[in-house]
Amino acid sequence: MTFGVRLERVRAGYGQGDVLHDVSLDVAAGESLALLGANGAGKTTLARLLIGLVRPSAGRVTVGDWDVSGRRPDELARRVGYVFQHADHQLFARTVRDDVAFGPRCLGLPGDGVAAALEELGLSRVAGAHPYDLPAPARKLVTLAGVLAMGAGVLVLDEPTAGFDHESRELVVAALRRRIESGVTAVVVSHDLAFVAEAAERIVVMREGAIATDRRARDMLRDEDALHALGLGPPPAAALGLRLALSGSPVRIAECVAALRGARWTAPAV
Amino acid sequence: MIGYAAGRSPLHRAHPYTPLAAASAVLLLAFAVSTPGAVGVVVLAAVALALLGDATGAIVRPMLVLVLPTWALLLVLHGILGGDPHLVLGPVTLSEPGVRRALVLGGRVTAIVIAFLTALATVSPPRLVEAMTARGVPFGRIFLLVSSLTLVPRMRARAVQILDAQQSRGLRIGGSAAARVRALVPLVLPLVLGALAEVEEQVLALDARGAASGARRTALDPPRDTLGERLVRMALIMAVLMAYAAKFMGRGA
Ligand SMILES: Nc1ncnc2c1ncn2[C@@H]1O[C@H](COP(=O)(O)OP(=O)(O)O)[C@@H](O)[C@H]1O
Ligand SMILES: [Mg+2]
Repeated sequence: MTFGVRLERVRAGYGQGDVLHDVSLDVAAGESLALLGANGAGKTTLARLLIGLVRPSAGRVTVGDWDVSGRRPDELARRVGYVFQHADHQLFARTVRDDVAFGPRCLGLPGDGVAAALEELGLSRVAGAHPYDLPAPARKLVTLAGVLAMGAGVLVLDEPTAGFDHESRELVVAALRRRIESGVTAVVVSHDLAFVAEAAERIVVMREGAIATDRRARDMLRDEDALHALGLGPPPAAALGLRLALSGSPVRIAECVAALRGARWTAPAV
Repeated sequence: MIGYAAGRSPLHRAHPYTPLAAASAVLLLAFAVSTPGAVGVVVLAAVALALLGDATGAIVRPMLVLVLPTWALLLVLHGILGGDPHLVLGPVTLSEPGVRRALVLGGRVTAIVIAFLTALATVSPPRLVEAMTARGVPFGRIFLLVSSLTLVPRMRARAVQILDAQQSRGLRIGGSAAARVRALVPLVLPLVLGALAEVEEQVLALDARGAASGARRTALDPPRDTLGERLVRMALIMAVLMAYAAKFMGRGA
């Protein structure tokens, strides 16, 4: 099952004044969206609305046909898988496998997604280890596996690759891409543009609690001026595509490779 | 809420050492005196400190949580188990020396709790770091002190985050009594495990920043210390010394 996500003129905050001012956003079922923006822009607040941990003070948030305001986070978890920025806030079981199985068990799901999620994220080898015996990035992979195993139709990931090495990031990209291809909706908060390039079709930039930009990822990731304004630059594949003026506007590694294979290459005269 | 609460009271604006010195003086004075009346005076001094720090709102709840059970326990223990003569108060009979003893012990606890909650509420941890750095206190020792001062708020913030995270994994909070008990393990264990992991990472981070090197650090913007405040702290030390002198000269204040 897959669901679209919609925010209609939403205001939300933490008591003293609004953090989000009149935000409207429509994410179609099966779409993958990246949220960018400076620290404090409201990305996490927007993400938390989707799992019911922040409540709108005005406006409406829906996931499929569910209005989130009528539902507790543990109910919304059937539709929305939320990966928190910090892994240490949830791991508690004796083994990695048991921890990954916790979410499916809470929801009364058959545990058949557990082994698959462990395998996808390269955790099968450490499935019997204690989560706290793993280094911090691996603990984060465990929390991600725990959410993937719940099989939600919407995935909300807050800085999923912060602190990751290349290999871990590739595992996350592959797992997320598989979900998106099978129709899962993804909302990813990330400054890791190499990750965003591989995982998102659309980019929304937030500024001071409002949406400042909403563009195709391919256009945004090749717009050096717009990225510089955020203190960022094009990810490697996009930068290479721009420098070499490759056809097809590549932003992903595979696209870049395909464009280079197809290009008629002549060495520049020295 | 135990921990720093922003404000503009004289204690908030004072050099961080002053509220800490005042709280320490209350602690020492509470043990220097041993009659209910004198302990009462120390309690009043602690209350005055809380008023000066505009901290009553911030400390009232944790104070009651810490102090009320102590009072109940002391009154029951000493009032019932203490020796003669006994006081008859309506339906209850209480030992007079026992009640006096309970008043002294309970008063001490009350004064100390009020004073230290006030100090915690009015000393900003970053300012304390600056002040201690300016005095050349080694960074490792500053870190230990400040991490204990901020322990409660940090634990509380972490507890909220754990609650959020486990609910998002489908954990039902509330419901039947059995469900509440079942929910405890996934909520409490990450609190402990996460705190341990954090300590380990902080120790590594400290090592990486050369905390053990002993090199003297420079404070960026040390809080200002005034002559008046130095005099106040001297006076507190004098008061404590005099109280102990009186105690050991056998007059018991
Ligand atoms: N739990 C909270 N309580 C109060 N204010 C908060 C809380 N979380 C975030 N804020 C405030 O809301 C604003 C947006 O924060 P956040 O959504 O976390 O931004 P981002 O994820 O884009 O960095 C910030 O000004 C932040 O200080
Ligand atoms: Mg954030």
